[in-house]
Amino acid sequence: MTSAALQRLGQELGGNAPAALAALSEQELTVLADAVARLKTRQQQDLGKALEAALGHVPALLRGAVRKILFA
Amino acid sequence: MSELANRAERQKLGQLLGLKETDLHFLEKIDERSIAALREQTSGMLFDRNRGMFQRIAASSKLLPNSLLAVIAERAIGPWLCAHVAGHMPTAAAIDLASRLPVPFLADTCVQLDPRRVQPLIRGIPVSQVKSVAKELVRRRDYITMGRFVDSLPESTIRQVLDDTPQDDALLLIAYYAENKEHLSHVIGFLSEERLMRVMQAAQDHSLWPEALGLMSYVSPALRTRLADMAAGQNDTLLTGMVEAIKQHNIWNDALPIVGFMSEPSRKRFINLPAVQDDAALTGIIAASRDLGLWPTLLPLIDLMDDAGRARVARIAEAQDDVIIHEFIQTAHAHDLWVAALNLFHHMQPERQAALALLLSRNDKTVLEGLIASVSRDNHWTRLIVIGERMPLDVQQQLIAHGMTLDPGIISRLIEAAEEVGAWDMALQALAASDASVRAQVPEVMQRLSAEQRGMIKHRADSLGFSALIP
Repeated sequence: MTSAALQRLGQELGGNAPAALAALSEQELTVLADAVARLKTRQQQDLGKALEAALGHVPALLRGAVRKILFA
Repeated sequence: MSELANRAERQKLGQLLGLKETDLHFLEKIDERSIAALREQTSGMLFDRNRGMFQRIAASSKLLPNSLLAVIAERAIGPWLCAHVAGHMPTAAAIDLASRLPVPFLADTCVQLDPRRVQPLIRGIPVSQVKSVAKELVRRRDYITMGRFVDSLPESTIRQVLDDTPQDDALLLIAYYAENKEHLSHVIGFLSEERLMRVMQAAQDHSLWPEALGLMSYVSPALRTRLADMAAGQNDTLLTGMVEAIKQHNIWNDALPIVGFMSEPSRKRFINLPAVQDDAALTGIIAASRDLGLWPTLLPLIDLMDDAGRARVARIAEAQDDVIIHEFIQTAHAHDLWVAALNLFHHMQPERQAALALLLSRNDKTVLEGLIASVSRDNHWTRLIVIGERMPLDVQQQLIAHGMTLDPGIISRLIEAAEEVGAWDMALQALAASDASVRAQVPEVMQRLSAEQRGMIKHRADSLGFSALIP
């Protein structure tokens, strides 16, 4: 039976985690799942911040067009 | 499972997840391929989950000149996002943009980049710029990132980067972390003998023997032999340093297969080093043979030891269970290594020899016939007699009967061996099974012996029911 932590790791990865990881304890799998989740959150935050900052550098004349492409 | 490959994969996964290798110690029990699969799955997920946005950023970049994009990339977008967008930009535009970015920023981007996803871009970057970024990564000691790029850069570029990297320890670590082992073999093959020697010295000077051994185990068999021989050809200090590192990190499972790839003179030098000839090392070697089924590597190695060394191995082996003896027997049979096995058995205690003689007796006819054929061919009767004496009589007779079909001169050789080691049972069995012309030679042989020896042999012949055989 798949453990809850292995299932969670699979969800974070968007698919099944490598089968050999089933040998890990719940606690160990949680360390991995938490690390992947943190990475995704940070990526999302970085992405939002970077886009806002980037738009600030785009000449006013083109900003609308760029925004339209980015957030279409 | 390789401890070194596992450790390298833990380090690579740690770098991606923002964890230390020590935080991932629990992955020691997972095979390295599964750890690599987890890393690739994570990296792939990070590239794919915002793919649409990365594509839109790349599309919008077409509205702006590269001079402005470079400013935006450095001040706002940042290395992480650049690394993810780069693969979605037209290659020529991405190469031009890279040429406008400062080296430290490009190095930061490389850390985030999966070069396999941006191959055309990586291959299009001018060599001079690659060399500058490589220098920066070496300065930061980020060899994991450099190892990833070894897999994706053209060989000619790698050659120039390596020539431009005078630090031998850095070169060793870059190669250690490289992932495409086939490509790595080509790359190492570029290096001169002199440079490879310096890399070995760097392993010693910077305590990097585990990494050097890891590297040796990755490369092609031909290159492995070349590197292993080169290591074995170094001075005693260096070679001893390698052995001490193997012992300290308990990485015989990685080291022993490499020793097996050495030429015979190199193996002989290695196995007889004082640092190898201690209980800790020999126990580690036997354990690695057991873990990995490396008995065909171990038996010839033991045979390259001097007698004192073989006696040490015998003492360690005989303290273990019968499985190890069974493995020696099966390996000796499968690889025609009987002489090596008998040389080892010779150094065991009499009670252990008795146990192994019984174990040997229980093998089927083909195994026993293989044994006698090998002993007969190499005239190794003195070694066999010691074990053979402890076998059941019917097995002794079976061995002799087969030996006589292979070698008509077996009697004289058996008698010579019996005289040498003072063990006559097998010789008497053979004599009893011989024809009259052979038995007629017995008085002459007996004349050569002392009265005491003659008395002992007569007594033994009487107890075996061969009274008529000995006058």
